[in-house]
Amino acid sequence: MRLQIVNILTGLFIMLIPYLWDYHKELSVHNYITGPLIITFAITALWEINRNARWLNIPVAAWLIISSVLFRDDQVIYPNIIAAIVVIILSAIKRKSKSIYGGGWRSLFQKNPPHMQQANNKV
Amino acid sequence: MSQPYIPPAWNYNPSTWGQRLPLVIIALVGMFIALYLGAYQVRWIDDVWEPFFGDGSKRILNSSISKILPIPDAFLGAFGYFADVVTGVIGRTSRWKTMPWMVIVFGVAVGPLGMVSILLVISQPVFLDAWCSLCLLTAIISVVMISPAMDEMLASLQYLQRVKRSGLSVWKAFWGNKEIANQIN
Repeated sequence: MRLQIVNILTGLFIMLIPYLWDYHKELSVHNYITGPLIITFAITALWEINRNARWLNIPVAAWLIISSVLFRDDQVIYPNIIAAIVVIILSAIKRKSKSIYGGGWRSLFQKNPPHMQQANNKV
Repeated sequence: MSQPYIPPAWNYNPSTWGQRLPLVIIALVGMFIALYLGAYQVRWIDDVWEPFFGDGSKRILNSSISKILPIPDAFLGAFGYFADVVTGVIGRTSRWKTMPWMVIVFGVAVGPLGMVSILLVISQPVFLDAWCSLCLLTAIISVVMISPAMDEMLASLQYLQRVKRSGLSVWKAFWGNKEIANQIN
């Protein structure tokens, strides 16, 4: 949970970077798109049941790095790069779940998921 | 004290009032904020509260994007929150099993609302070069609601999966058939 809170704050920081470093429009647009997306996926991943939503932040942060390089012109892009790397690292860290939620979302595609095993045992 | 109606291989019941009521309350807050913003859009009120971004709220609420649809977008948002409130309130604490249709409607109402909110947040600086504090607040409310609503939906989908594997009618179970609900854990 703490990791995702840091990601939420980093997403907020990404939205502020264009103002703090006076980015031009072409570059700042990518901050305005990736920042809210990072915050959204991090908030969604705060709850254990959707912890895997954190993975979605990796391509989003990767796009921030790529777009920063592509549209940099004479702008200082290290804040974007550092923020994106922080998001990627924190999103990749796996935490142990306290509950199994009947096997979670993947159970819907499994042959004999945990919820079915337990239901059969009860019968 | 153990909770009744805990889905198999879960350690809590996602349909308890303790799980649902906080969502209903924040959806109500979202609805009132959206109604307030909509009231400004149709000029029932002359001004809109904006503590941080100057005339940002007014620029966004009067923008062409907010007028794409025949009714103001804030009223659509308010309707979305109202749907969340109604579908969040209906049903007992066993509804993941006895009313899967309602749980899934609830999940569908919450999910897209969150996605639309984020698209609107992105569109504010990208297309309008402005921010709107209350619009951001409603977007956060929408996003915060997604995960807590999804656990109940997952319990219902797993129940329908068990019904299907048992060879019983998923259609009937979806609409809350009592015989099937009694037969399947």
